[in-house]
Order: sequence, then C-alpha cells, then structure tokens
Amino acid sequence: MSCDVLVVVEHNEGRLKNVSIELLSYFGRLGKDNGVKVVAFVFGDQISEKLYCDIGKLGILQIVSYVDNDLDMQPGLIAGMTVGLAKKIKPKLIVMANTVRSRDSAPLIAQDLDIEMYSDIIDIDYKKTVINLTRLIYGGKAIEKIKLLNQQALITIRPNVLGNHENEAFIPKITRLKINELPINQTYITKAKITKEKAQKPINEAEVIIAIGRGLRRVDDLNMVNDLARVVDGVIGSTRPVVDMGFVRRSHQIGQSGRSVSPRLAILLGISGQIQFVAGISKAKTIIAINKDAKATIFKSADYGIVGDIYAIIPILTRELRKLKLQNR
Amino acid sequence: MKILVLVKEIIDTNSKIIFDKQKKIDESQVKWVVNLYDEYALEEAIRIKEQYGGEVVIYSVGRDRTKDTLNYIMSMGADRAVLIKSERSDAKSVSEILAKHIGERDGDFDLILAGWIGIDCNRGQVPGRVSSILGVPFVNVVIKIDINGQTVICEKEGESSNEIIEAKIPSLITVQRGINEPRYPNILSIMDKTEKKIEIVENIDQIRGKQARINIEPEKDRKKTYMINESDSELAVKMLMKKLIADKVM
Ligand SMILES: Cc1cc2nc3c(=O)[nH]c(=O)nc-3n(C[C@H](O)[C@H](O)[C@H](O)COP(=O)(O)OP(=O)(O)OC[C@H]3O[C@@H](n4cnc5c(N)ncnc54)[C@H](O)[C@@H]3O)c2cc1C
Repeated sequence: MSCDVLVVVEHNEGRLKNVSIELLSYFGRLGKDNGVKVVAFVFGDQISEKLYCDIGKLGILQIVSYVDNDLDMQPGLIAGMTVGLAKKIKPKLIVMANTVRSRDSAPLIAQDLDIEMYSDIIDIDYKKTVINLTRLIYGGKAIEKIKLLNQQALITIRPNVLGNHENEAFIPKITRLKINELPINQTYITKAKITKEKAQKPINEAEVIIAIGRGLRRVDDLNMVNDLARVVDGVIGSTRPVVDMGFVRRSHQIGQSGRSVSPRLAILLGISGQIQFVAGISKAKTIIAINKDAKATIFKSADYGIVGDIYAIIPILTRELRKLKLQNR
Repeated sequence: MKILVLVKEIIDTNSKIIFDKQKKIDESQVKWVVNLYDEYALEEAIRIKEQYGGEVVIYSVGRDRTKDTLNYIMSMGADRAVLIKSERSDAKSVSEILAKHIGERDGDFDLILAGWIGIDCNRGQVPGRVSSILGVPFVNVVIKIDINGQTVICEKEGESSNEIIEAKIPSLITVQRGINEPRYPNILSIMDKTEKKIEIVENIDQIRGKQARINIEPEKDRKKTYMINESDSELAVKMLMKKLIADKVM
C-alpha cells in the first residue's frame, strides 16, 4: 500500500470528531476529483463497524486501524504507531487536526520521520505538484505562506476552516496495523483525569463561540451568558483578565497567549479588542461585538457591532435567537 | 537537580511590525524579548532549584543580539546560559542544534523545561522535537509540577479534563500560563553585565536538503463593520437580527 495523504483520525469513543469529518471529507473530495490516494488511520478504543462506515461515507476507501481498548492516548505511543505506519506507506503528506491531542504527538512524529511540520494551518490548496499552506504569525499581524513542492511534511489543520464536503460513500477497505515495538522510554503514566466541571468542548473546535471580557462584572452573571450559549449551541471563551479572575478555564482563553480559533460565529461581549485578544479570534467567519463604548477597538475587527450595555442586550438577544430557532424548526 | 530551560528570543508582538520593500520584516524596527511562556518555565526551574538544590541552565539558539535578552532574563536567577549562534530559525534545525549541544555539554540533565509555544510563530514544535531526539518523555502544556523522588508528577492541561501524569526523570516538560507568577529580574544584576556566565557557542550550520518556500505577508483587515448605535436595546437587537438573517448568518 502506498498513498499520497495519511489522515490521522480523532474520535471520541467511536464517534468522529467534527474536525476529523472536515479533514476526511476534504481529502475524500480530492481523492475523487484529483485521484489523490488517501489513507485514514484510526486507533484507540470503541472502534466499531459503524466508525469505519462513517469514514467511508466521507469518501475514504482505505482505512488502517489499530484497535486497543486500553490504549493510553499519550504522545509517545501515538507517535510510535504513526511513525511505524508512515514508514510503511510513505505518504507525501501527513495530516492531523490542530487539537491538543495531535499537537502533543505531531512534533515527535515529524522529528522521528526527519521531516518538516507546519502547525495550525488555516488554508490549504492541494495540487498535484504543489501544496500551498497558510498560517498566521506575529499575533495575527502577518500571514505565512508555505509552498510545499515535493518533500514529505506533516501538517496540523485548525478546526472549522475546511468545512464539510459531500462525497460519494465508499465501503472502505480495512487493514489492521501490526505493531512490533513502541518507544517505551518516551512514555509516561497517566495517573488520573480530573474533570472540574462538566466536560466542555475544546474552544478551538467550537463552531459558535460566546466570548466574554471584563464587561462581565460578576461570576454569577455567567448564567446570563450560559443562556445565550445554549440557544446558539455555543462554547464560552474569554479574554485573559476574565481567566485570571477565575471565571473561565484557562484552556478556554482566546488570544495570543491562549487559543487561536476559527468558529463560524463569534459573539464578543464587553471586550475592548486589544491586539493580544484579537490575534486569537481574527479568523472567525463572522464576528458580532457588543460593547458600551462606541470607540472600542473591537468594532474594527467585527462584522456587526452593537454599541450598548451587555446586561441590557444579552437577555433580549437570547430571547430573539430562541424565537428564531423555534421558527426554523 | 540539573534543570535546563529552553528560551526563545522573539519579536515583541506588541511592537509595530514593518515590512520592507522585499516584504521582509524590518528587523531593525522591532523590539526583541523573551517568549512569554519561557519565563514561566524559567521561574518554575528556579523554584525547583530553591527547593531541591542544583543548577538552572538556559539554552537558546539565537544571534549576537540574543545575548542582551539572555542577560536580562538570567537576572531572574539562572546559574548560567548557553547561547548557540546560528542563522537557522526553522523549528527542525533549531531543535537539532539544541539537542546536539545539550547532549555535548549537559547530557546529564534531570529535567528540561520550556514554554509550550512561542507566541511569535505559534509553531509549538521545538520542545517535542528535542524530547524525541534525546529520547525522553514529553509532557506538554503543564500547569503544576511536583518532584517525587526519581519521578515528576505533572498536572497536564487536557482537552476537556486535566490529567495527572507521572513521568520519570529525565523528562522534557512544557509549561502553560497559570503555573506560577514569574518574579521580576533583579535590577542590580541586569546592570552588572560582567558577572553572568553566558557561554557563546558557534554552531556549524549544516547544508540543508530541499526546503519548502516560505513567504510572509501583512494580514489584511476585515471588511467594513455594520454598526448599530441605538439607545433602545430592543430596537438594536431587532436591527441586528434583521441584518443577520438578510446576510444568512442565522
Ligand atoms: C504578552 C501578553 C499576552 C496577552 N495575551 C492575551 C490573550 O491571549 N488573550 C487576551 O484576551 N488578552 C491577552 N492579553 C491582555 C490584553 O492585552 C488585554 O488586557 C485583554 O485582552 C483585555 O481584556 P478585556 O477586553 O476583557 O478587558 P478590558 O480591556 O478591560 O475591556 C473591557 C471592555 O468591556 C467594555 N464594557 C465594560 N462594561 C460593559 C458593559 N456593561 N456592556 C458592554 N461593554 C462593557 C468596556 O467598554 C471595555 O471595552 C495579553 C497581554 C500581554 C501583555
């Protein structure tokens, strides 16, 4: 088996992550239109016929799978498996999602294979002879454009940037991966998982984000924001000071020293629009900003702006969005 | 404990970034600072040393000017620094250079600490690559470190939950904001440029194989904002909803 593109799939207990659906359907499309040979690599627990089927539906013909119900998803092991597979099938491009999990193992894989890696890609143009990649640097002040000619490389693609593509469904061919040895000296022991509150979707995988800034005065006022988030199926993120105050988890901080996100929609509440924050949100498709200060710089980065008090606007906006949602059902 | 800290000198992303005619960033116009996350790593290293004794050594791949940046950050309390001079700035070369010189000079390290990402280029590759070359466990994005005999217990930021991880010593750990509050560098020590031990090493840059072509361009601004400045909140929301529906956002 040889291939052009190896897509490393992420799933939660057998259910494909949205970002993996994007990656698979994007490359599935390329397979159909341009004859690009794509292999999907799945591993972990609760891998079922249904998961294979779901991958086939996205236009993928070849799946390599490694089923291990006790597999500890740590970087050393994921890297070991992926490197082993990549050495066998020699893909030109290894594609991973730019998620916490993949970013742990991606640099190890790239180094073991002795290849370049480009992380947090926000745009890709795949042609037979050249692959063009785009990423943001210097706090979103500059774009880096990469032209891959014929060298093997690993890329991690940001969630929500490729979108979903409809493809003809395939019945995939499954190959089981045999692993001889994993790099045991590069592993650790996972002792426990601590879930502080009810598990929230990672902010960089959210399609809709409600971001709050210091305009929110008390932690109790989060209830009002939660109501809004529920109506639009959104995940709550925030600026750094709001994380520092302990209102929001650090993993949900947006910005230069937090996460960079590309949701379909971002609603920004009481955020001034400092460059360090904007750096993380600038690639949202649509941005709505609400701020009581008409001169707030955040409006420069927004598509829609309301000058007003979030405490007055949020309940009304929630009510109206709920109305619309019920109408559209 | 011998703790190595990987430090990257970066362009201060607060400063205005000016592009010259060749679309290259005008490096004479920018301020150079230490990557924010590396300060957390250094602070953590110093705290471990204060508790268990040992040595804190900074490793950095940079240019001549990097000396000043290192001089500043060393005043937080590092014992010495190794500045490896190289023209390379791609993640792979930098990692290989770091690993090589670490292996030659301080291969008997107990821990390597680093910031989990560089806020300039957002690559997040060097620590992982270095761990891979040196063959030690890689614990990424950590918010708490406790030394426990021959192992280290870390709280690692996960996707939806945090994880408690036990790794053996030696390991490479990257740190996330929230792990500590870095101290300010000691002013007297910053001014005294003589006492600090910065070893400067010239790297012999190898000829590289085929490389991808990389261009940097200024980012474009967003299109015009649809502004609603209406004192009646009900009306403001109605206007927004109408426009969102017309634009097919909703
Ligand atoms: C190295 C470095 C890295 C940083 N990294 C990040 C980062 O990753 N992410 C980040 O967010 N920040 C980061 N910062 C901090 C950043 O510079 C700003 O301080 C921060 O983004 C401001 O947060 P804010 O908008 O919530 O607060 P503020 O700047 O205080 O703004 C609050 C806004 O709310 C408005 N407001 C107040 N009350 C109301 C109301 N009732 N209704 C409507 N509007 C109201 C005000 O008009 C104001 O515009 C970083 C800073 C540095 C130096």
